[in-house]
Amino acid sequence: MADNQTTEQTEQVISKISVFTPIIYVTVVLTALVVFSINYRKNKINALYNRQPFFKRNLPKELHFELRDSDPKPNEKVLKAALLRRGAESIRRTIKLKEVQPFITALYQKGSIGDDLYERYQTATKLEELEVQEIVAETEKYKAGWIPKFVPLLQEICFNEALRRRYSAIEDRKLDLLDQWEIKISKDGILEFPNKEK
Amino acid sequence: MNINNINIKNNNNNTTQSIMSLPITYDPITKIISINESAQNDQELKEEIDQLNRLSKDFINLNSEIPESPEPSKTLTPLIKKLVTSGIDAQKRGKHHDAIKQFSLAIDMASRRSRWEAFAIQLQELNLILMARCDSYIMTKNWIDAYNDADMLLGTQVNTPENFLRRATAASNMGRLTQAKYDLERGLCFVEDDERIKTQLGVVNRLIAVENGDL
Repeated sequence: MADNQTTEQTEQVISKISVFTPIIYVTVVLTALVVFSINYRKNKINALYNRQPFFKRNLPKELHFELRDSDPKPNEKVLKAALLRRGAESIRRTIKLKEVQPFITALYQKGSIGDDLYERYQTATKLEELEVQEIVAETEKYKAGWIPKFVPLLQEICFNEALRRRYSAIEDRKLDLLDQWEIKISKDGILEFPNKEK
Repeated sequence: MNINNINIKNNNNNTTQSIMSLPITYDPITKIISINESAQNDQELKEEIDQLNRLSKDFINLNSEIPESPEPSKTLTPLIKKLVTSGIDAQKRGKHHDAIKQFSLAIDMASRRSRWEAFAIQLQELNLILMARCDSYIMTKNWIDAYNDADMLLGTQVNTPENFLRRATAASNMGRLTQAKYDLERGLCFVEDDERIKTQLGVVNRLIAVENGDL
């Protein structure tokens, strides 16, 4: 609208105008826009590349890729186990994301956390959705109609492994606690308490 | 695919390790994945590979293509129960060291269950054994182990006041009086008039007063 008006005004003042002027004008504007959009996208993708992920590296997924694409192909059951592990990890991440969602939202609204963390959270959520879709597709490759059987197993595996991990951490925790509380173990295995009279 | 690439790149940035070259070797005969010498220090990868090997072993031992249901194994359940009952017997006879051995064995046996067996059942089983083992630790005055067992119990089962009593007993005997006091008070929130917790709280309060020089 504004452009049209200016063109009309210029036409009134200057009687003769080259045919190329509007073409050059449009070209310049378009080139500027294209250059801007290319740069903008590049920056955005770079930012995505360099953004610190919300979770640590997804080892089960890496392992599954590695085994699936390795040559010769591993036993099918091993591959299936790797897929199950990948699914269990995805369940764990989905649960974690859901767990923190109310807090992240509340903190973000209050301004306690910055855009960066919030965006990382949102990217993680999107990635997780895609990951679930990919796992579903992979499962269907093994045998159609396995999903209803697969998914309940994933949850059990995820929880059971968490439980076992916690249990096997008992020994390390013990040493850490003793260290933290400055309790020493004497040679015959008796604890020496620093703040207790002998 | 695009998203995958981004993910790969991210991983690259953090760990300087590309997705396609994890330091692992697969043995087609034993069907076991092992970690290469170069990456022996990577605890995370080690743990993950252990978990995967366990799961694939469970899978290979399974006759059907996929586990039909998360029902617990029928062969392991009686074995575990037997170990637990013999542990409890030893506990009743006052042989706490034997009892602890039996309970630890039972836990090891329970961890041999396939990972897809129902979690609710596995959790309950582990909790029961841990409670019994914790009591035996307390009886043998092995406070740090008792504390650790009770700590895990409280992580999985908060609403049992006895677990607070267990952790507090262990903590107070290791001289961590304030912590014991908090635990007992939390336990009392679940059952207001539990005599054992009340008595223990009285003891702990007295100890704190002595430590502060008030008594």
